[in-house]
Amino acid sequence: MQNHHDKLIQRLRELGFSDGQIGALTYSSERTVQNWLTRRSTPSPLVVQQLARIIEIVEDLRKLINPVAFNDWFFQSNQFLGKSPYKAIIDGNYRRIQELMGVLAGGTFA
Amino acid sequence: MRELRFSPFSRLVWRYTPVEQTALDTQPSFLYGGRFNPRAEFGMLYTSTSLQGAKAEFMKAAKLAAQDPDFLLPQMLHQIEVNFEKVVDLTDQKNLSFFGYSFEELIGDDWTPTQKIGTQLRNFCDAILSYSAADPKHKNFNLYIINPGSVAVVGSTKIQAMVDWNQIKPVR
Repeated sequence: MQNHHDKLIQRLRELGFSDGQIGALTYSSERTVQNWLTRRSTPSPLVVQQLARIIEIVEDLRKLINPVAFNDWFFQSNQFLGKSPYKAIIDGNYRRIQELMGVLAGGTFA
Repeated sequence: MRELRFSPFSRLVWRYTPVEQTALDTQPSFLYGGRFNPRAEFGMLYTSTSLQGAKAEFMKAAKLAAQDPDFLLPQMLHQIEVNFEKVVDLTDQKNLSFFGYSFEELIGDDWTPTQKIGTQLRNFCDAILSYSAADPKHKNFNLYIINPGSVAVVGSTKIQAMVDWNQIKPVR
């Protein structure tokens, strides 16, 4: 039976993230992510929370960006963020990402 | 706040929204935060004082999404009549110096100064006039107060293709 964190990692893989990238987003290594999946170790509750939060952000962003262009966009530097959305998540710039979503959703002006 | 100059403001302003969003919906700005409003504290309605300004804002959003602007269409372009007595004009150097920021800081990518100003002004005025960060040749009119006596949507047009921007005429 899949654990909650297995499902979250699987969802991130479906969203196009490599294990190395999932590791970076959770301040862990690629090997650690693979250990979580093979039950050699278990992610902390904080990491599980972080995985869920990343999925929520990525899924929200995917609604606002052309799905075909999304992966390039996500890893490219963004003028509004001053870095790529990927790096902004690693750096914990959630507020700025939310503000970018507001612009992309058409509710505010950049 | 006594040093600030408050002025009346009555004119047509412009705003684009996704088709499913209503013209006066401040919920997205409340949810995500905007240049003058911190997220989840209060919402504001962001409008442009010109059609070209609204188009510049749309083009900037498309650039940030790294999209061909056509991909973000259709959008609704709304024309809104506003009539307010108490507006703070932040394109006026005297008003801006009260807050200790430069014009450049007001159109920068860091929204900390503008959100601070927006929070400070919230209980003292109806709206803020500011330069557009998308193109400082244009001005934006950012409203706190949306009531039927002061704000009326007078026209909404569906923009289906970029060329449609050039066909729009003010309704009044």
